[in-house]
Amino acid sequence: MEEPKAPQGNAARLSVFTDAQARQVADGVARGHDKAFESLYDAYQGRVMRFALVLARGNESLAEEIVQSTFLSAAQKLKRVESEEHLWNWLAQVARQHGIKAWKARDANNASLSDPLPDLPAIPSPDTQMEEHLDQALHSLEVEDRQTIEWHYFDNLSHKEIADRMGTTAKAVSSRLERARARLRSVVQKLLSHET
Amino acid sequence: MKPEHQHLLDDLWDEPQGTRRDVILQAGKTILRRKRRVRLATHVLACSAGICVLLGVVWSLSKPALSSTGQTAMNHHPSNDIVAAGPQSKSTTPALKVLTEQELFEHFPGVAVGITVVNGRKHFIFPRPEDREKYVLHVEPSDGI
Repeated sequence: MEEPKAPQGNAARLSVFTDAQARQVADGVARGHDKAFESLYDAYQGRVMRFALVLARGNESLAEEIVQSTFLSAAQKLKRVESEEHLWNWLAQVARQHGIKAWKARDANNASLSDPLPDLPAIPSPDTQMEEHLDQALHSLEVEDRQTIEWHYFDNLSHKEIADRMGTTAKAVSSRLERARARLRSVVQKLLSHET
Repeated sequence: MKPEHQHLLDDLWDEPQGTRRDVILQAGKTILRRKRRVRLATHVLACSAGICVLLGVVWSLSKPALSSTGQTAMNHHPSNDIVAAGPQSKSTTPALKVLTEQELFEHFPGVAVGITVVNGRKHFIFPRPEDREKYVLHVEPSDGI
């Protein structure tokens, strides 16, 4: 059985499986095929991580724990699916269950923790929530940093093209992007942690 | 979610040098390897059980067939007729009663009769011709008397 190619790189990472590919990959994982598992991971790790960050309220280590548990559960228990949506719903449900477990474990390990256990199953559309936080975080950036991010990610300009526009070097643009991403990440995490 | 937002968010939490990927894939592949072994073992067991059941069915079907065909074959074999028929006739036919000579003579009241042995075989002797005519002529020579 030929496994669907795992999305590679930034452009490919945006794509998700078709229904047929989702069926094929889930079937492959159910049969214990390594390549199918790799394809599943490469296609969904970003989405599962974003979802896990929302579940973990911006706690990166907790989110990574959820992601790892979710994919290991997939390796163990994923059966045949009907469609891509079915596959994603399955992964999201498993992630949610691991999120609840992780929060409970964290709560038990740290009794003095004041954070209440979030109502994880009630979280509405994590992607929308994440997008809203990203917008807010972008507006919190300095104008030049935000402009650099928008040119690179929204207008698909290369480092060189941005450098030409800004009258600087590509290396300087790269450093600015790195700094802006770190700032964005920090703000999004902070916003997620304040979610009720 | 807009693709450009998705791209940016993915980059925000992009793992350094794919360490998370390696760890998860390694652990996942270990699980899958175990799963494959269990799957293989299950298939082998299922096949073995199926073969055993099949053999059992074939054996149970062939057992009565073998005994019946064996019996038929034996019945057709002349040398086995005696063996096959022996126990049956033994069980159904009453045992032959061996008569003493005195008891034999009692079957011929008022008849002059004697017994003589010629070449190891016993023969009746009827001195009177009318007795001889009455008893001996009705007996086939092949009956051994």
